[in-house]
Amino acid sequence: MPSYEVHYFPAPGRADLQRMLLEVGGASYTNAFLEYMTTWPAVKETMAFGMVPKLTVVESDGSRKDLFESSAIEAYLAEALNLMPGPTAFERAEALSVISALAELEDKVRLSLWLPTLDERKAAHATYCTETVPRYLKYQERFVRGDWYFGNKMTVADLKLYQLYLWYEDMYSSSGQNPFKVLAADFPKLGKIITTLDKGKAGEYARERRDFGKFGWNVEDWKFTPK
Amino acid sequence: MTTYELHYFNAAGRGDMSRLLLDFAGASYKNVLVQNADWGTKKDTTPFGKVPVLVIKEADGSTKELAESAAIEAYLAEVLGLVPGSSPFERAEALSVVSAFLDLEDKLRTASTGTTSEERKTAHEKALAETIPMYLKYQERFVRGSYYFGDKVTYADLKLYQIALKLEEMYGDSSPLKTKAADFPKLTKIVETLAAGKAGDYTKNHRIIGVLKWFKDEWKWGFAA
Repeated sequence: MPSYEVHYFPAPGRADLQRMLLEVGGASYTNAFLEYMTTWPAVKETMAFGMVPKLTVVESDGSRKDLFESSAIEAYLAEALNLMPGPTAFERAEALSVISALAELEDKVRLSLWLPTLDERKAAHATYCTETVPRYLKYQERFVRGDWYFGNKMTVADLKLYQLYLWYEDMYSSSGQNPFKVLAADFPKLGKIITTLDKGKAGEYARERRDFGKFGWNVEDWKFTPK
Repeated sequence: MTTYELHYFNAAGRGDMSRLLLDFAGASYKNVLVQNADWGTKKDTTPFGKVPVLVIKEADGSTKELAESAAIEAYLAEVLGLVPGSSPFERAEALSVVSAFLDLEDKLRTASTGTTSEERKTAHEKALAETIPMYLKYQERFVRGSYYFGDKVTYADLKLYQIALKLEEMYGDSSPLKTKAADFPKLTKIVETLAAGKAGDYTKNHRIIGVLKWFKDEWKWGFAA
């Protein structure tokens, strides 16, 4: 059985889903944290594309191999940890299609994070929550094929949904604006997936090993800041 | 024999790479072009309200569909033999190269979001001088042989080729792959080899540019009549 190292900053960010996959998949892993101002600049050039996260796979014979780019890491771990709907190329691609659509929704909020004034940020987040999110989630709700996205088996698609829910909690719980909660009546199947994951290993990860106390949502300023 | 339909707008955009894979591999496929006027009706018939959508028709008559360009490209690469190997790690490594290029494409889209052509020009000039060469530097370092993964063409190489086409369309002779070709000998060789073969045939004979064009004085994409 291999073990894994997740190389990233001490924040959920773009490593959250892969850590969740490792936890839910019962894999042995450690976090190798990088500090943005100190250790990161020294190792940036050692990363294949100058970016993190990096996943190091440590085989039982001690050999190591590195994988970069969060979408590639997530696809790899989902397959290696039996969190894909099935073994065929099509089944795996369908799971990737759900993740891709949710990632597109996730990316749409990033612009709001960087708007220069507080009023602009608040307004952009409000529009995102009330208009953009439901437009995307309506297709997600329609896609769900059972208790989970792909029927009876929990997969990376369900975990991606939960990871997005958690990020919304980071940003919106203080203002009661998490669209998954505000619009819960419109998305019952998605809500049920989140509630079920919250009660199991994914929820335990979220509460105990997802946040490292270094960054947080600044509720006065509507941005993430170091603590 | 499996046949494919690629449903997308009459444009290169997010359909180009899938068309290139199908064409390069000699798959039996057809383009179903979605006209802007028909999009309103079609949108909700797609899994996530978007195109491209790939329709797969198996020899036994069964049909299935796949949405999202990233998923379609990963799927086609695998079934058309355009991955480095069959193991999950090898497939993920190819995906990592493509993902880094998708990141670059996102940065170029952002450069066109400024509201004036002056802002957009400044953003694109910075991309040309700094961002694109930075991304290409890491790509050049990654290449492990005649192609990204040694001796065999994979969709990583074809993604580079598609990026080269896009940079040429946007920047012409100012494309960093031309102005800084000496810094990127391995990438240049891959693009030239592919251009001389089936990928070049696709570009000359089957590539759809359609109604979406780069307006160079405006520094953005737009619809041409």
